[in-house]
Amino acid sequence: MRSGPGSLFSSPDNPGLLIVLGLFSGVAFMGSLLVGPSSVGWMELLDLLWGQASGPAGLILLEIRMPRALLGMMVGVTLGLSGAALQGYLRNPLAEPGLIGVSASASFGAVVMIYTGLAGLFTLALPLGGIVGAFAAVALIQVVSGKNAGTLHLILAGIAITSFASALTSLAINLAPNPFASLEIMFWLMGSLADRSYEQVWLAAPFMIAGWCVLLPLGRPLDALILGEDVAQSMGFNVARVRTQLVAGTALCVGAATAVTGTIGFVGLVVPHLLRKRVGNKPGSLMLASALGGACLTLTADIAVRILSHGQELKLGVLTALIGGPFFLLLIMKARREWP
Amino acid sequence: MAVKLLQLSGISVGFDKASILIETDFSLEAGELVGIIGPNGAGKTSLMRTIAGLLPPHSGEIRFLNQPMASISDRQRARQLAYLPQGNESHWDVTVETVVMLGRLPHRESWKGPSEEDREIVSQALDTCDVSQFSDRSVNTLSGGEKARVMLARALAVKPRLLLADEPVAGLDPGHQLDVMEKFRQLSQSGMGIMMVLHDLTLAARYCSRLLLLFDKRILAQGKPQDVLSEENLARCFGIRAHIGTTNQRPFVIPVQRYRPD
Repeated sequence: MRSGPGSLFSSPDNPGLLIVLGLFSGVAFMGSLLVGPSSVGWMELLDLLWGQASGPAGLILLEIRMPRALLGMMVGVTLGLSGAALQGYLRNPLAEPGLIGVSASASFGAVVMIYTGLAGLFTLALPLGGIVGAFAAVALIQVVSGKNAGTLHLILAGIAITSFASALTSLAINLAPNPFASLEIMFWLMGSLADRSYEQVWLAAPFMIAGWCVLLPLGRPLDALILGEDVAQSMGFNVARVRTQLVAGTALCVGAATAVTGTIGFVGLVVPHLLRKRVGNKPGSLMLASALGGACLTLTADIAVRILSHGQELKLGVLTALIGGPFFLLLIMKARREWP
Repeated sequence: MAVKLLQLSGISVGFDKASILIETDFSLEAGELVGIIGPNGAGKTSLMRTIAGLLPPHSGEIRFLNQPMASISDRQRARQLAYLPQGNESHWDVTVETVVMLGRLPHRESWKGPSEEDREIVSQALDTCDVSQFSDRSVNTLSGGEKARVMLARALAVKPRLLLADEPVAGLDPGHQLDVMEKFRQLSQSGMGIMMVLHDLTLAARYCSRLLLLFDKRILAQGKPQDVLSEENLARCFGIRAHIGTTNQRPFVIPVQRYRPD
């Protein structure tokens, strides 16, 4: 791959790309505030910005659409960032945030709350259950894959945890006290940003932001890992510590994201793919770009969900997988042509 | 007197409980080009990895620049010591310049981009290894010889006092082998300490200022190439009878046949 000289998008460290993605994210965020079943739009948003929020319009913007947009942005950043970090660490473009088992365990934790009925008692039960599930997964990974384990052990442990947590989730659906509970679980698992409140934003935000803060400094070691673990270690990076940091950071942000929204697939897989060449294939530079790209994609998809839903809500996780799956196949075919 | 870069005393190396090297003593001064030879499995790579800080020794002490290696931070060590492993792999499809710039990572502060000095050093390293003409190309499109020179340039961009190279000429054609060995000789003459694992005994004899022959978990011989590469040592370590001679005052070693002394 040769990066075209002079192009705004292909200079290696690419500040232009970050600016464009940042602008897009901002536009998508505004769009997320403007689109919805009720006709609250530009005028009302402008009123709100002038400090004249009043009546139902202000309420819809501030209490319904704002938390949804905030969550969409944060979940998008989380998926894009953790996907890029995992791919960089594992040196594998097929890695995605759920790979280490955090998504499946967070889902299971939340499902337990629905199953036991605790979710109906207080709003935060669901996300709290999810976060506990994510931490359980991390503890298991650290025990199973040990201190000096390689990438293969991490992947294998992740696969084992994912399938076990999925099996437990299926068991919960299987044994659900009534069909409504099964339906509720299944709908929740599909992943959605609809009807989220500030409570959930405030609960998830600290974990997500903490996760980002753990992942973002990994840029330099991930760059060093281009040349393999031995070279990275000889360049002064403690690869075992990098791995612990990666698992902890991913668990914090992906666990919290899954806990409030359910599983939103393909964003963490596709976004790093789309942006990788734009940063000269450098895993360190890819992280921030992918975080912004994830926000763009998640917010845009959530706007599309609202436009496409009539009556029955189309779930965000269903839409991202529906678009993401074929799109990913196309990417693979394109990559095969370039790399026979 | 030249600066003593490295001093190993009583170093034992191994995986789990099995030892690969026992009680090894060795030292290296600035300007030396030391070749490590020995049969497969003699512990050449393990010795290199131990010095590079990748494999903790079971016992003994390593001193680097007159300080115990254990007391030097990873970052400090990485600024003075470069390790060039076998394989020359690049896991992502990055440009040659990106790879060479990685050599500056130990010197750069977090969050900061490369400085003017970093760029200058990288461009020197690219020139030294004759790879500046394809600095924009992807490493994965290069030939084996070109790639080996790019990886060497990456190690040189560290500006190390000590360079550890594990079979740097493996898989190169004879012309490129000579090119790379010449480069190592120039570097050592300019004051860098170099330690390399070699399988080609002729190159070892011609280019190294000193050879270290590893056999049966120990250093069997070390010293000037002509002393180490004796018929007796070659028979004992490699199980070969070799023709050792000189042509135009340059030594050569040709393995002739399998031979095991009783």
